[in-house]
Parts: sequence; structure tokens; C-alpha cells
Amino acid sequence: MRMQTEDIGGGVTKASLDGRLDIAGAQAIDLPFNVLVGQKRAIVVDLSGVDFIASMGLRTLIMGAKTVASKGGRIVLLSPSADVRKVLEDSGTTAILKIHSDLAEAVAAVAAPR
Amino acid sequence: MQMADADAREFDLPADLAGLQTLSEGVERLAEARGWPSSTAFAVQLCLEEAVSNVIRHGGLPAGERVRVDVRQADGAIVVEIADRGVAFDPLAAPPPPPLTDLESATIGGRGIGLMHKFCPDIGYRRSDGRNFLRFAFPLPPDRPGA
Repeated sequence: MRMQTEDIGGGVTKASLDGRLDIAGAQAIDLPFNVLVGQKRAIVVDLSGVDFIASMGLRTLIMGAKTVASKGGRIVLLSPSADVRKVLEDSGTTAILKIHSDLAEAVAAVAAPR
Repeated sequence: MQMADADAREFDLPADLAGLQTLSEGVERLAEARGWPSSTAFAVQLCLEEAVSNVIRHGGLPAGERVRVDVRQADGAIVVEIADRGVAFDPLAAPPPPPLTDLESATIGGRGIGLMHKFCPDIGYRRSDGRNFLRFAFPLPPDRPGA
């Protein structure tokens, strides 16, 4: 599991995850992801490179979203695979973390004033 | 004469993260060799990850304890059984976590058992001889080439 971050302008950061977001993957990115959500307020998490996610991966995403929300910021998810999307939907995660399939829409969603 | 079951695979794993890694890699190879549909392979991997990580984290197993996982393909289904000597735990009887409604009140964790039910229509639990047996059956789509 790897995470790459990129400042894509307008105060928005894109974090691209790559690999399996299972218990080991969650462990691998927990620290860098926690640093990211501690520093940034507008984050697009690109899931297109994630081929597997389980509840420990959801835990990482939900904790990060809570941290950002507590600062008045926002996280959205970008382009999960069909299987990963099903996990996000079936777990109820999409009630609190929105999915976008278009980067421009995702950026607009996190950059929008609350 | 008892024939060896070519479509069965048994994993005898250490009850730790390395064991879980060995399991997911082994199941991935099995899925490729058997040509499981990718969504079925994903469901098997998800249920195994949730169930075995529960055993590792909450089973109270002493160091060096093993977890056994049987994976077999029969009668149009993939059947997976996990056996462990951890504390008696029936995930089918566990109450669901509160639904996620807003980020401020969102509870962390506890989503694994609900996901098992969403990804597997047929789950059974029994406690026998000091062991937990958790069994999942994943139906394979009919009329697959080579099925």
C-alpha cells in the first residue's frame, strides 16, 4: 500500500492510494494519512489504484474524515473500483464520505465553502 | 478408495498478520487458477480478512497458536471454513453497530461483520470441541465456461 500526495491548486490536496487497503495496508498508511488530515482541510482521496478494501481500511478513511471535518474541512473519495464502491456503500460509509467519479467535481466538492 | 479432492485447499496459518498475508496471497492464486469471477474472489477475500482479523485481534489466542482455513469448491459454490481455538464468538449473534449518519457522531470500526453479511448470503457458525467454526458459502454463477 502506497500513498502519494499532490497539491492540485486552490488549496486542494489529492492523495492517491495504491494497493490493498486491508489490515496491513491500513497499518502502512495510517501514519502518513493521519499527518495529511492533520495538515490539510480540502482533500480528494483517489481510490482508483485500490483493488481491495476491508473494514480496517474504512476505519482509516472515516477517522481521517472526522479529523478534517472537525476543522471545518472536507474529504471526498474519487473513482473507486466497482468492488471497492460496494464495500463503501454496503458499510454505510457513503453516508458520510461522498464518492465522485470526476476529479473536477471532487475538487469543487471539497473547495466549496461550507 | 478416497480420492484426493483437487478443488480443496487447506491453510494452516499462524494467528497473526503474516498469516493473514499468506492466506490472502494463497486465495488469490487459487482464484486465478480456478477462474473465479473477480467479484466472487473479492467477496471471499473480504470475508476471510474480516473473520480472520477478528480471530487475531479478539480471539485471545496465545502466541504461536494456529488458525485453520479450508477452501473448497463444490456444487456450484466456494465453501470456506475457518477454525480457531479462540474464545467462543458467534459473529452472527453480534449486534450491528449504529448506522453512519454524520461525521461528528460516526463511530469508528465494527463494520466488518455487517460486510460479511453483505458479501456472503450463506454464513454458519458452530462451537465444537473448544473451537469456533465459521463457514461461508459463496454461490458461483451458473454455466461458467469450465465450471
